[in-house]
Amino acid sequence: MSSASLSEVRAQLDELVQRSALYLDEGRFGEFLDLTSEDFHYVVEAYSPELKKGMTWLEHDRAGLAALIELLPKHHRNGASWLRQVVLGTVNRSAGTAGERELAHDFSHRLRHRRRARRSGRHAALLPWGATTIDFAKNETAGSSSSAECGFRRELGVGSHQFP
Amino acid sequence: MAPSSTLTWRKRLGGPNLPYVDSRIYTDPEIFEEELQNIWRRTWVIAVHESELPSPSITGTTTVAREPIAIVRGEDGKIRAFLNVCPHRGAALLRAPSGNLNEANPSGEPKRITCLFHAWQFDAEGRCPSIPRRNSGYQGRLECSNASLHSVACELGAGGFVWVNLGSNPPPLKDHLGAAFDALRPHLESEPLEVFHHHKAIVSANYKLWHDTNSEFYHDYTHHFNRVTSMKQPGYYDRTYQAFDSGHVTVSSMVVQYTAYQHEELPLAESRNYSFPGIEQNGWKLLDLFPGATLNLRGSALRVDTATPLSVDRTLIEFRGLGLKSDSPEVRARRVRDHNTIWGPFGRNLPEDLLGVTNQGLGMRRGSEGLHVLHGRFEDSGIHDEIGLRHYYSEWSRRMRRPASEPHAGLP
Repeated sequence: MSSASLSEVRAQLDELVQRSALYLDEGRFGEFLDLTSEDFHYVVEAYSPELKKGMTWLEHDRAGLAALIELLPKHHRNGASWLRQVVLGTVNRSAGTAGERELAHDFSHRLRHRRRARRSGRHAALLPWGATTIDFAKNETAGSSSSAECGFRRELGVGSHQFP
Repeated sequence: MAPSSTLTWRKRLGGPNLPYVDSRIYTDPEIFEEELQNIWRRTWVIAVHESELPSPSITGTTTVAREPIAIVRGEDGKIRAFLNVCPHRGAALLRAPSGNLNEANPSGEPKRITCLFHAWQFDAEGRCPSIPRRNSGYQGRLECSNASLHSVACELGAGGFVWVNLGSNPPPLKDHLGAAFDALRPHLESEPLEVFHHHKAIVSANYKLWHDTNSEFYHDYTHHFNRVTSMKQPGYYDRTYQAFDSGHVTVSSMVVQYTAYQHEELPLAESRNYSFPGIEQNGWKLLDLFPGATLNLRGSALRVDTATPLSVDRTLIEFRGLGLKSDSPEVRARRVRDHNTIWGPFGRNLPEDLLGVTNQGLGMRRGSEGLHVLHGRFEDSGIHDEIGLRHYYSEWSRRMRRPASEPHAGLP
Protein backbone atom coordinates (compact mmCIF):
# COMPACT_ATOMS: atom_id res chain seq x y z
CA MET A 1 0.00 0.00 0.00
CA SER A 2 1.33 3.42 -0.86
CA SER A 3 1.79 6.09 1.72
CA ALA A 4 -0.81 8.19 -0.09
CA SER A 5 -3.51 5.56 0.34
CA LEU A 6 -2.62 5.10 3.98
CA SER A 7 -2.96 8.81 4.44
CA GLU A 8 -6.35 8.66 2.83
CA VAL A 9 -7.44 5.86 5.12
CA ARG A 10 -6.26 7.84 8.06
CA ALA A 11 -8.23 10.91 7.00
CA GLN A 12 -11.36 8.87 6.45
CA LEU A 13 -11.02 7.22 9.80
CA ASP A 14 -10.55 10.56 11.48
CA GLU A 15 -13.63 11.89 9.73
CA LEU A 16 -15.63 8.82 10.70
CA VAL A 17 -14.74 8.91 14.35
CA GLN A 18 -15.19 12.64 14.73
CA ARG A 19 -18.47 12.71 12.86
CA SER A 20 -19.90 9.82 14.81
CA ALA A 21 -18.92 11.50 18.06
CA LEU A 22 -20.49 14.75 16.92
CA TYR A 23 -23.77 13.06 16.04
CA LEU A 24 -23.97 11.28 19.35
CA ASP A 25 -23.07 14.39 21.30
CA GLU A 26 -25.82 16.33 19.57
CA GLY A 27 -28.36 13.56 19.84
CA ARG A 28 -28.55 13.14 16.08
CA PHE A 29 -29.01 9.43 16.47
CA GLY A 30 -30.55 8.86 13.07
CA GLU A 31 -27.55 10.37 11.35
CA PHE A 32 -25.32 8.35 13.61
CA LEU A 33 -27.12 5.22 12.50
CA ASP A 34 -26.84 6.25 8.85
CA LEU A 35 -23.08 6.01 9.18
CA THR A 36 -23.34 2.32 9.91
CA SER A 37 -23.62 -0.71 7.70
CA GLU A 38 -26.08 -3.56 8.03
CA ASP A 39 -23.70 -5.73 10.01
CA PHE A 40 -22.97 -3.00 12.53
CA HIS A 41 -22.70 -4.23 16.09
CA TYR A 42 -22.82 -1.88 19.06
CA VAL A 43 -21.51 -2.96 22.44
CA VAL A 44 -20.86 -1.11 25.65
CA GLU A 45 -18.71 -3.04 28.04
CA ALA A 46 -17.39 -2.17 31.46
CA TYR A 47 -15.12 -3.75 34.00
CA SER A 48 -16.46 -4.16 37.51
CA PRO A 49 -13.85 -3.83 40.24
CA GLU A 50 -16.47 -5.24 42.60
CA LEU A 51 -17.00 -8.41 40.60
CA LYS A 52 -13.53 -8.46 39.13
CA LYS A 53 -14.87 -9.25 35.72
CA GLY A 54 -16.14 -7.61 32.62
CA MET A 55 -19.76 -6.84 32.00
CA THR A 56 -21.84 -6.08 28.96
CA TRP A 57 -24.08 -3.11 29.57
CA LEU A 58 -25.58 -2.67 26.14
CA GLU A 59 -25.40 -4.81 23.05
CA HIS A 60 -27.32 -4.39 19.84
CA ASP A 61 -27.08 -5.26 16.22
CA ARG A 62 -28.02 -2.52 13.81
CA ALA A 63 -31.71 -3.39 13.86
CA GLY A 64 -31.74 -3.41 17.65
CA LEU A 65 -29.99 -0.08 17.81
CA ALA A 66 -32.41 1.35 15.27
CA ALA A 67 -35.30 0.14 17.41
CA LEU A 68 -33.76 1.70 20.48
CA ILE A 69 -33.33 5.01 18.69
CA GLU A 70 -36.87 4.92 17.38
CA LEU A 71 -38.21 4.42 20.87
CA LEU A 72 -36.17 7.16 22.49
CA PRO A 73 -38.81 9.87 22.05
CA LYS A 74 -41.27 7.78 24.03
CA HIS A 75 -39.01 7.81 27.06
CA HIS A 76 -38.19 10.72 29.29
CA ARG A 77 -35.17 12.52 28.01
CA ASN A 78 -35.82 16.09 29.03
CA GLY A 79 -33.18 17.32 31.38
CA ALA A 80 -31.55 13.94 31.64
CA SER A 81 -28.29 12.69 30.38
CA TRP A 82 -29.01 9.11 30.98
CA LEU A 83 -28.93 8.35 27.31
CA ARG A 84 -25.44 9.69 27.11
CA GLN A 85 -22.46 7.60 27.71
CA VAL A 86 -18.77 7.88 27.77
CA VAL A 87 -17.60 5.27 25.38
CA LEU A 88 -14.28 5.25 23.74
CA GLY A 89 -13.46 2.39 21.49
CA THR A 90 -10.85 1.05 19.21
CA VAL A 91 -11.61 0.26 15.60
CA ASN A 92 -11.02 -3.26 14.55
CA ARG A 93 -11.43 -3.45 10.86
CA SER A 94 -12.34 -6.92 9.73
CA ALA A 95 -11.63 -6.47 6.05
CA GLY A 96 -9.14 -4.70 3.86
CA THR A 97 -5.44 -5.14 3.58
CA ALA A 98 -3.27 -5.93 6.55
CA GLY A 99 -1.95 -2.39 6.40
CA GLU A 100 -5.42 -0.92 6.45
CA ARG A 101 -6.47 -3.10 9.36
CA GLU A 102 -3.40 -2.21 11.32
CA LEU A 103 -3.80 1.45 10.59
CA ALA A 104 -7.45 1.40 11.59
CA HIS A 105 -6.62 -0.13 14.92
CA ASP A 106 -3.59 1.97 15.70
CA PHE A 107 -5.04 5.25 14.59
CA SER A 108 -8.34 4.79 16.38
CA HIS A 109 -6.43 3.70 19.46
CA ARG A 110 -4.55 6.97 19.42
CA LEU A 111 -7.76 8.90 18.86
CA ARG A 112 -9.29 7.16 21.81
CA HIS A 113 -6.58 8.19 24.17
CA ARG A 114 -6.41 11.68 22.81
CA ARG A 115 -10.13 12.11 23.23
CA ARG A 116 -10.05 10.69 26.69
CA ALA A 117 -7.24 12.99 27.73
CA ARG A 118 -9.04 16.03 26.41
CA ARG A 119 -12.43 14.87 27.58
CA SER A 120 -13.55 16.65 24.48
CA GLY A 121 -16.60 14.58 23.75
CA ARG A 122 -19.17 12.67 25.62
CA HIS A 123 -19.13 10.00 22.98
CA ALA A 124 -16.84 8.44 20.57
CA ALA A 125 -18.38 5.74 18.50
CA LEU A 126 -16.71 3.54 16.02
CA LEU A 127 -18.52 2.76 12.87
CA PRO A 128 -18.33 0.80 9.67
CA TRP A 129 -15.99 2.39 7.27
CA GLY A 130 -16.52 2.25 3.55
CA ALA A 131 -17.89 -1.02 2.34
CA THR A 132 -16.06 -3.02 4.92
CA THR A 133 -16.94 -3.72 8.49
CA ILE A 134 -15.44 -2.11 11.53
CA ASP A 135 -16.64 -3.54 14.79
CA PHE A 136 -16.49 -2.33 18.27
CA ALA A 137 -13.74 -4.49 19.57
CA LYS A 138 -13.19 -2.93 22.92
CA ASN A 139 -14.89 -0.10 24.68
CA GLU A 140 -13.76 1.58 27.78
CA THR A 141 -15.94 3.52 30.10
CA ALA A 142 -14.03 6.57 31.07
CA GLY A 143 -15.43 7.66 34.34
CA SER A 144 -18.24 10.11 34.69
CA SER A 145 -16.88 13.13 32.93
CA SER A 146 -20.34 14.19 31.85
CA SER A 147 -21.64 14.11 35.37
CA ALA A 148 -21.91 17.84 35.77
CA GLU A 149 -24.70 17.92 33.26
CA CYS A 150 -26.53 14.86 34.46
CA GLY A 151 -28.17 15.88 37.68
CA PHE A 152 -27.19 12.46 38.83
CA ARG A 153 -24.05 10.67 37.91
CA ARG A 154 -23.06 7.15 37.43
CA GLU A 155 -20.04 5.45 38.78
CA LEU A 156 -18.94 3.64 35.70
CA GLY A 157 -17.21 0.83 37.43
CA VAL A 158 -14.80 3.14 39.16
CA GLY A 159 -14.25 3.69 42.83
CA SER A 160 -15.45 2.05 45.96
CA HIS A 161 -17.31 2.76 49.12
CA GLN A 162 -14.37 4.73 50.42
CA PHE A 163 -15.40 8.26 49.68
CA PRO A 164 -13.32 11.28 50.49
CA MET B 1 -40.79 31.67 63.40
CA ALA B 2 -41.08 30.20 59.95
CA PRO B 3 -41.78 32.55 57.07
CA SER B 4 -45.44 32.92 56.29
CA SER B 5 -44.98 31.49 52.82
CA THR B 6 -43.63 28.31 54.37
CA LEU B 7 -46.61 28.06 56.63
CA THR B 8 -48.77 28.31 53.55
CA TRP B 9 -46.82 25.59 51.84
CA ARG B 10 -47.26 23.36 54.81
CA LYS B 11 -50.98 23.86 54.82
CA ARG B 12 -52.55 20.51 54.67
CA LEU B 13 -53.40 19.28 51.20
CA GLY B 14 -56.84 17.71 51.06
CA GLY B 15 -58.74 16.37 54.03
CA PRO B 16 -57.54 15.25 57.45
CA ASN B 17 -57.38 11.58 56.47
CA LEU B 18 -54.71 12.06 53.85
CA PRO B 19 -51.41 10.71 55.21
CA TYR B 20 -48.27 12.66 54.52
CA VAL B 21 -44.72 13.05 55.71
CA ASP B 22 -42.86 16.28 56.32
CA SER B 23 -40.21 16.74 53.65
CA ARG B 24 -37.69 17.75 56.31
CA ILE B 25 -37.19 14.05 57.00
CA TYR B 26 -35.41 14.13 53.64
CA THR B 27 -33.56 17.39 54.09
CA ASP B 28 -32.67 17.93 57.75
CA PRO B 29 -29.02 17.03 58.47
CA GLU B 30 -29.77 16.48 62.16
CA ILE B 31 -32.48 13.96 61.36
CA PHE B 32 -30.05 12.25 59.03
CA GLU B 33 -27.48 11.90 61.80
CA GLU B 34 -30.14 10.39 64.04
CA GLU B 35 -31.06 7.94 61.30
CA LEU B 36 -27.51 6.69 61.14
CA GLN B 37 -27.60 6.03 64.86
CA ASN B 38 -31.12 4.74 65.31
CA ILE B 39 -31.60 2.87 62.05
CA TRP B 40 -28.46 2.17 60.06
CA ARG B 41 -26.24 1.19 62.98
CA ARG B 42 -28.93 -1.09 64.33
CA THR B 43 -30.18 -3.10 61.42
CA TRP B 44 -29.13 -5.76 58.94
CA VAL B 45 -27.99 -4.49 55.57
CA ILE B 46 -26.80 -6.33 52.47
CA ALA B 47 -23.04 -5.99 51.99
CA VAL B 48 -22.29 -8.28 49.06
CA HIS B 49 -23.54 -11.49 47.53
CA GLU B 50 -21.72 -14.70 48.37
CA SER B 51 -20.89 -15.23 44.69
CA GLU B 52 -18.72 -12.13 44.86
CA LEU B 53 -16.45 -14.02 47.26
CA PRO B 54 -16.34 -17.36 45.46
CA SER B 55 -13.30 -18.83 47.19
CA PRO B 56 -11.20 -18.46 50.35
CA SER B 57 -9.18 -15.26 50.76
CA ILE B 58 -11.44 -13.22 48.47
CA THR B 59 -12.39 -9.91 50.02
CA GLY B 60 -14.96 -7.20 49.54
CA THR B 61 -15.58 -3.83 51.09
CA THR B 62 -18.62 -1.78 51.93
CA THR B 63 -19.65 1.07 54.18
CA VAL B 64 -22.45 1.17 56.72
CA ALA B 65 -23.25 4.40 58.55
CA ARG B 66 -19.82 5.75 57.60
CA GLU B 67 -18.06 2.73 59.08
CA PRO B 68 -15.82 0.97 56.56
CA ILE B 69 -16.44 -2.75 56.54
CA ALA B 70 -14.27 -5.55 55.21
CA ILE B 71 -15.88 -8.80 54.08
CA VAL B 72 -13.55 -11.78 53.90
CA ARG B 73 -14.04 -15.44 53.08
CA GLY B 74 -11.75 -17.45 55.31
CA GLU B 75 -9.82 -20.64 54.64
CA ASP B 76 -12.70 -22.47 56.27
CA GLY B 77 -15.06 -21.08 53.65
CA LYS B 78 -16.90 -18.94 56.15
CA ILE B 79 -17.57 -15.33 55.32
CA ARG B 80 -16.80 -12.84 58.07
CA ALA B 81 -17.05 -9.09 58.45
CA PHE B 82 -14.69 -6.75 60.23
CA LEU B 83 -14.28 -3.08 60.75
CA ASN B 84 -11.99 -2.26 57.87
CA VAL B 85 -9.71 -0.23 60.09
CA CYS B 86 -6.34 -1.08 61.56
CA PRO B 87 -6.60 -1.19 65.36
CA HIS B 88 -3.16 0.42 65.56
CA ARG B 89 -3.60 3.93 64.18
CA GLY B 90 -6.97 3.81 62.45
CA ALA B 91 -5.92 3.50 58.83
CA ALA B 92 -8.21 1.79 56.36
CA LEU B 93 -6.98 -1.67 55.51
CA LEU B 94 -8.61 -2.98 52.34
CA ARG B 95 -8.90 -0.15 49.89
CA ALA B 96 -10.33 -1.86 46.82
CA PRO B 97 -13.92 -2.91 46.18
CA SER B 98 -12.72 -6.49 45.95
CA GLY B 99 -9.46 -8.28 46.42
CA ASN B 100 -7.63 -11.53 46.90
CA LEU B 101 -5.41 -12.11 49.90
CA ASN B 102 -3.51 -14.70 47.91
CA GLU B 103 -2.03 -11.87 45.92
CA ALA B 104 0.93 -10.52 47.84
CA ASN B 105 1.23 -6.80 48.35
CA PRO B 106 4.40 -4.77 48.79
CA SER B 107 4.33 -4.63 52.57
CA GLY B 108 2.73 -7.90 53.51
CA GLU B 109 2.49 -11.60 52.96
CA PRO B 110 0.04 -13.74 51.04
CA LYS B 111 -3.16 -14.61 52.89
CA ARG B 112 -2.75 -11.61 55.15
CA ILE B 113 -4.48 -8.27 55.31
CA THR B 114 -1.59 -5.91 55.77
CA CYS B 115 -1.92 -2.33 56.84
CA LEU B 116 0.16 -0.29 54.45
CA PHE B 117 0.98 2.23 57.17
CA HIS B 118 2.98 0.18 59.69
CA ALA B 119 2.59 -3.33 58.25
CA TRP B 120 0.47 -4.81 60.99
CA GLN B 121 -0.95 -8.03 59.63
CA PHE B 122 -4.26 -9.80 59.99
CA ASP B 123 -5.50 -13.12 58.72
CA ALA B 124 -8.83 -13.90 57.10
CA GLU B 125 -10.32 -14.69 60.50
CA GLY B 126 -9.37 -11.25 61.80
CA ARG B 127 -6.54 -12.46 64.02
CA CYS B 128 -3.31 -10.51 64.20
CA PRO B 129 -0.34 -12.82 63.63
CA SER B 130 2.27 -10.13 63.28
CA ILE B 131 3.12 -6.70 64.61
CA PRO B 132 6.49 -5.48 63.34
CA ARG B 133 9.07 -5.01 66.11
CA ARG B 134 6.39 -5.64 68.70
CA ASN B 135 8.66 -6.51 71.63
CA SER B 136 11.06 -3.70 70.89
CA GLY B 137 8.36 -1.12 71.04
CA TYR B 138 5.79 -2.47 73.43
CA GLN B 139 8.00 -4.48 75.84
CA GLY B 140 5.29 -7.04 76.50
CA ARG B 141 2.53 -4.48 77.01
CA LEU B 142 0.78 -5.49 73.78
CA GLU B 143 0.23 -9.01 72.50
CA CYS B 144 -0.91 -9.91 69.02
CA SER B 145 -3.92 -11.52 70.63
CA ASN B 146 -4.96 -8.06 71.81
CA ALA B 147 -4.89 -6.65 68.30
CA SER B 148 -7.48 -8.62 66.36
CA LEU B 149 -9.71 -6.79 63.95
CA HIS B 150 -13.01 -5.60 65.34
CA SER B 151 -15.68 -8.10 64.32
CA VAL B 152 -18.95 -7.04 62.78
CA ALA B 153 -22.04 -9.24 62.97
CA CYS B 154 -22.35 -11.09 59.68
CA GLU B 155 -24.86 -13.61 58.37
CA LEU B 156 -25.38 -15.37 55.09
CA GLY B 157 -28.98 -15.67 54.02
CA ALA B 158 -32.00 -14.68 51.97
CA GLY B 159 -30.76 -15.71 48.57
CA GLY B 160 -27.09 -16.00 49.39
CA PHE B 161 -26.55 -12.40 50.39
CA VAL B 162 -24.01 -11.44 53.00
CA TRP B 163 -25.64 -9.23 55.60
CA VAL B 164 -23.91 -7.17 58.23
CA ASN B 165 -25.15 -5.40 61.34
CA LEU B 166 -23.15 -2.83 63.30
CA GLY B 167 -25.11 -3.52 66.44
CA SER B 168 -23.61 -5.35 69.37
CA ASN B 169 -25.13 -8.83 69.63
CA PRO B 170 -27.97 -7.97 67.27
CA PRO B 171 -31.02 -10.19 66.91
CA PRO B 172 -30.57 -12.75 64.14
CA LEU B 173 -31.21 -11.87 60.52
CA LYS B 174 -34.28 -14.09 60.43
CA ASP B 175 -35.89 -11.89 63.06
CA HIS B 176 -35.27 -8.83 60.94
CA LEU B 177 -36.69 -10.44 57.80
CA GLY B 178 -39.58 -12.15 59.52
CA ALA B 179 -41.90 -13.67 56.92
CA ALA B 180 -41.14 -11.00 54.35
CA PHE B 181 -38.67 -13.13 52.40
CA ASP B 182 -40.98 -16.13 52.23
CA ALA B 183 -42.54 -15.03 48.95
CA LEU B 184 -39.17 -15.03 47.21
CA ARG B 185 -37.51 -17.87 49.07
CA PRO B 186 -38.61 -20.70 46.73
CA HIS B 187 -37.23 -18.84 43.75
CA LEU B 188 -33.99 -17.57 45.23
CA GLU B 189 -32.91 -20.39 47.52
CA SER B 190 -33.60 -23.49 45.44
CA GLU B 191 -30.19 -23.24 43.90
CA PRO B 192 -27.22 -20.87 44.17
CA LEU B 193 -27.38 -17.47 42.52
CA GLU B 194 -24.59 -15.51 40.93
CA VAL B 195 -24.06 -11.80 40.40
CA PHE B 196 -23.41 -10.91 36.75
CA HIS B 197 -23.93 -7.17 36.87
CA HIS B 198 -22.91 -4.37 39.19
CA HIS B 199 -23.06 -0.66 38.72
CA LYS B 200 -23.50 2.36 40.92
CA ALA B 201 -25.30 5.62 40.83
CA ILE B 202 -24.86 8.51 43.19
CA VAL B 203 -28.02 10.57 43.33
CA SER B 204 -28.33 13.99 44.89
CA ALA B 205 -31.30 12.98 46.98
CA ASN B 206 -32.00 11.44 50.34
CA TYR B 207 -31.77 7.64 50.50
CA LYS B 208 -35.38 7.26 51.55
CA LEU B 209 -36.55 8.85 48.34
CA TRP B 210 -34.96 6.04 46.41
CA HIS B 211 -36.59 3.45 48.60
CA ASP B 212 -39.88 5.33 48.29
CA THR B 213 -39.68 4.96 44.54
CA ASN B 214 -39.15 1.25 44.90
CA SER B 215 -42.08 1.10 47.32
CA GLU B 216 -44.83 2.40 45.06
CA PHE B 217 -45.88 1.64 41.49
CA TYR B 218 -47.93 4.77 40.93
CA HIS B 219 -44.84 6.24 39.32
CA ASP B 220 -45.18 3.79 36.45
CA TYR B 221 -46.62 6.80 34.67
CA THR B 222 -42.98 7.80 34.33
CA HIS B 223 -42.07 4.75 32.35
CA HIS B 224 -43.04 4.07 28.79
CA PHE B 225 -41.61 0.58 29.15
CA ASN B 226 -43.52 -0.17 32.32
CA ARG B 227 -46.71 1.34 31.03
CA VAL B 228 -46.84 -0.94 28.03
CA THR B 229 -45.37 -4.04 29.67
CA SER B 230 -47.37 -3.87 32.86
CA MET B 231 -49.68 -0.97 33.53
CA LYS B 232 -51.75 -1.60 30.42
CA GLN B 233 -51.72 -5.37 30.76
CA PRO B 234 -54.12 -7.78 32.46
CA GLY B 235 -53.15 -8.57 35.99
CA TYR B 236 -51.40 -5.29 36.75
CA TYR B 237 -54.17 -3.94 38.95
CA ASP B 238 -54.57 -7.33 40.59
CA ARG B 239 -51.11 -7.06 42.13
CA THR B 240 -51.22 -6.36 45.81
CA TYR B 241 -48.91 -5.23 48.55
CA GLN B 242 -48.42 -7.19 51.73
CA ALA B 243 -46.86 -5.53 54.74
CA PHE B 244 -44.62 -7.30 57.23
CA ASP B 245 -42.99 -6.47 60.51
CA SER B 246 -39.96 -4.20 60.51
CA GLY B 247 -41.11 -2.06 57.61
CA HIS B 248 -40.84 -4.59 54.78
CA VAL B 249 -43.39 -5.09 52.01
CA THR B 250 -43.84 -7.47 49.12
CA VAL B 251 -45.72 -7.12 45.85
CA SER B 252 -47.51 -10.09 44.34
CA SER B 253 -46.66 -11.36 40.88
CA MET B 254 -48.08 -10.76 37.46
CA VAL B 255 -47.09 -12.32 34.17
CA VAL B 256 -45.60 -9.71 31.85
CA GLN B 257 -46.22 -9.69 28.11
CA TYR B 258 -42.93 -8.22 27.01
CA THR B 259 -43.83 -8.30 23.35
CA ALA B 260 -46.18 -5.39 24.00
CA TYR B 261 -43.13 -3.18 24.05
CA GLN B 262 -42.55 -2.08 20.51
CA HIS B 263 -39.60 -3.87 18.98
CA GLU B 264 -39.29 -6.14 21.98
CA GLU B 265 -39.90 -9.03 19.64
CA LEU B 266 -36.79 -7.99 17.82
CA PRO B 267 -34.76 -9.77 19.05
CA LEU B 268 -35.54 -9.95 22.74
CA ALA B 269 -38.75 -11.89 23.07
CA GLU B 270 -37.16 -15.29 22.76
CA SER B 271 -34.91 -14.41 25.64
CA ARG B 272 -37.81 -14.43 28.00
CA ASN B 273 -37.91 -18.19 28.06
CA TYR B 274 -35.80 -18.29 31.19
CA SER B 275 -36.98 -17.71 34.68
CA PHE B 276 -36.07 -18.63 38.24
CA PRO B 277 -37.07 -21.87 39.98
CA GLY B 278 -40.72 -22.06 40.86
CA ILE B 279 -41.91 -18.82 39.35
CA GLU B 280 -44.02 -18.65 36.24
CA GLN B 281 -42.36 -17.56 33.02
CA ASN B 282 -42.15 -13.77 32.97
CA GLY B 283 -43.45 -13.61 36.51
CA TRP B 284 -42.61 -10.55 38.55
CA LYS B 285 -42.28 -10.34 42.32
CA LEU B 286 -40.80 -7.60 44.42
CA LEU B 287 -39.61 -7.28 48.00
CA ASP B 288 -38.76 -3.98 49.68
CA LEU B 289 -36.64 -4.33 52.79
CA PHE B 290 -36.30 -1.65 55.41
CA PRO B 291 -34.28 0.54 55.42
CA GLY B 292 -32.88 0.54 51.90
CA ALA B 293 -32.85 -2.66 49.85
CA THR B 294 -35.11 -3.99 47.13
CA LEU B 295 -35.16 -7.41 45.49
CA ASN B 296 -36.93 -7.26 42.15
CA LEU B 297 -37.40 -10.61 40.43
CA ARG B 298 -38.73 -9.98 36.96
CA GLY B 299 -38.64 -12.43 34.11
CA SER B 300 -35.23 -13.95 33.77
CA ALA B 301 -33.22 -11.66 36.05
CA LEU B 302 -33.10 -10.58 39.66
CA ARG B 303 -32.22 -6.97 40.36
CA VAL B 304 -31.10 -6.02 43.83
CA ASP B 305 -30.74 -2.41 44.90
CA THR B 306 -28.85 -1.44 48.01
CA ALA B 307 -28.82 2.18 49.11
CA THR B 308 -25.98 3.61 51.17
CA PRO B 309 -26.67 7.03 52.69
CA LEU B 310 -23.68 9.30 52.15
CA SER B 311 -25.24 12.46 53.49
CA VAL B 312 -28.72 13.84 53.94
CA ASP B 313 -28.90 14.65 50.23
CA ARG B 314 -26.48 12.21 48.67
CA THR B 315 -27.02 8.51 48.21
CA LEU B 316 -24.99 5.74 46.70
CA ILE B 317 -27.12 3.10 45.05
CA GLU B 318 -25.61 -0.17 43.99
CA PHE B 319 -27.42 -2.22 41.40
CA ARG B 320 -26.76 -5.90 41.10
CA GLY B 321 -28.09 -8.25 38.48
CA LEU B 322 -28.24 -11.95 39.29
CA GLY B 323 -28.92 -15.20 37.51
CA LEU B 324 -28.47 -18.82 38.47
CA LYS B 325 -24.96 -20.04 39.13
CA SER B 326 -25.75 -23.07 36.97
CA ASP B 327 -26.48 -20.93 33.91
CA SER B 328 -24.87 -22.04 30.69
CA PRO B 329 -23.05 -19.26 28.83
CA GLU B 330 -25.95 -19.04 26.40
CA VAL B 331 -28.56 -18.73 29.12
CA ARG B 332 -26.46 -16.25 31.05
CA ALA B 333 -26.04 -14.08 27.97
CA ARG B 334 -29.78 -13.95 27.57
CA ARG B 335 -30.34 -13.08 31.20
CA VAL B 336 -27.80 -10.30 30.88
CA ARG B 337 -29.55 -8.98 27.81
CA ASP B 338 -32.96 -9.09 29.46
CA HIS B 339 -31.58 -7.41 32.55
CA ASN B 340 -29.93 -4.67 30.56
CA THR B 341 -33.04 -3.98 28.53
CA ILE B 342 -34.88 -2.88 31.63
CA TRP B 343 -32.35 -2.20 34.32
CA GLY B 344 -28.99 -1.71 32.71
CA PRO B 345 -27.30 1.68 32.87
CA PHE B 346 -28.73 2.28 29.40
CA GLY B 347 -31.93 0.39 30.05
CA ARG B 348 -35.49 1.52 29.51
CA ASN B 349 -36.70 1.68 33.09
CA LEU B 350 -34.04 2.31 35.69
CA PRO B 351 -32.69 5.61 34.32
CA GLU B 352 -36.16 7.10 34.46
CA ASP B 353 -36.49 6.10 38.10
CA LEU B 354 -33.20 7.83 38.77
CA LEU B 355 -34.42 10.89 36.96
CA GLY B 356 -37.58 10.99 39.05
CA VAL B 357 -35.70 10.77 42.32
CA THR B 358 -33.16 13.33 41.14
CA ASN B 359 -36.04 15.69 40.54
CA GLN B 360 -37.25 15.08 44.08
CA GLY B 361 -33.78 15.96 45.27
CA LEU B 362 -34.00 19.20 43.31
CA GLY B 363 -37.39 19.92 44.81
CA MET B 364 -36.40 19.17 48.38
CA ARG B 365 -32.94 20.51 49.03
CA ARG B 366 -30.94 20.30 52.21
CA GLY B 367 -32.21 22.73 54.80
CA SER B 368 -35.39 23.67 52.94
CA GLU B 369 -38.31 24.67 55.11
CA GLY B 370 -40.51 21.67 54.60
CA LEU B 371 -43.48 20.57 52.59
CA HIS B 372 -46.13 17.96 52.95
CA VAL B 373 -45.30 14.89 50.86
CA LEU B 374 -48.38 12.79 50.29
CA HIS B 375 -48.52 9.10 50.98
CA GLY B 376 -52.26 9.02 50.80
CA ARG B 377 -53.38 6.61 48.09
CA PHE B 378 -55.62 3.84 49.42
CA GLU B 379 -56.63 1.15 46.93
CA ASP B 380 -57.17 -1.95 49.06
CA SER B 381 -53.41 -2.61 49.07
CA GLY B 382 -53.50 -2.66 45.27
CA ILE B 383 -50.60 -1.79 43.07
CA HIS B 384 -51.17 1.98 43.23
CA ASP B 385 -51.89 1.95 46.94
CA GLU B 386 -49.17 3.77 48.86
CA ILE B 387 -49.25 1.32 51.72
CA GLY B 388 -45.60 0.54 51.05
CA LEU B 389 -44.69 4.12 51.88
CA ARG B 390 -46.92 4.33 54.92
CA HIS B 391 -45.65 1.04 56.25
CA TYR B 392 -42.04 2.10 55.81
CA TYR B 393 -42.61 5.35 57.67
CA SER B 394 -44.45 3.61 60.43
CA GLU B 395 -41.28 1.65 61.11
CA TRP B 396 -39.17 4.76 60.59
CA SER B 397 -41.26 6.66 63.14
CA ARG B 398 -40.96 3.82 65.62
CA ARG B 399 -37.19 3.70 65.35
CA MET B 400 -36.75 7.45 65.27
CA ARG B 401 -39.22 8.02 68.09
CA ARG B 402 -40.92 10.79 66.17
CA PRO B 403 -43.68 10.82 63.57
CA ALA B 404 -42.53 11.29 60.00
CA SER B 405 -45.40 13.71 59.55
CA GLU B 406 -44.29 15.91 62.43
CA PRO B 407 -40.58 15.18 62.83
CA HIS B 408 -39.94 18.20 65.00
CA ALA B 409 -42.99 17.89 67.18
CA GLY B 410 -42.17 18.10 70.85
CA LEU B 411 -38.55 18.99 70.23
CA PRO B 412 -37.12 22.16 71.71
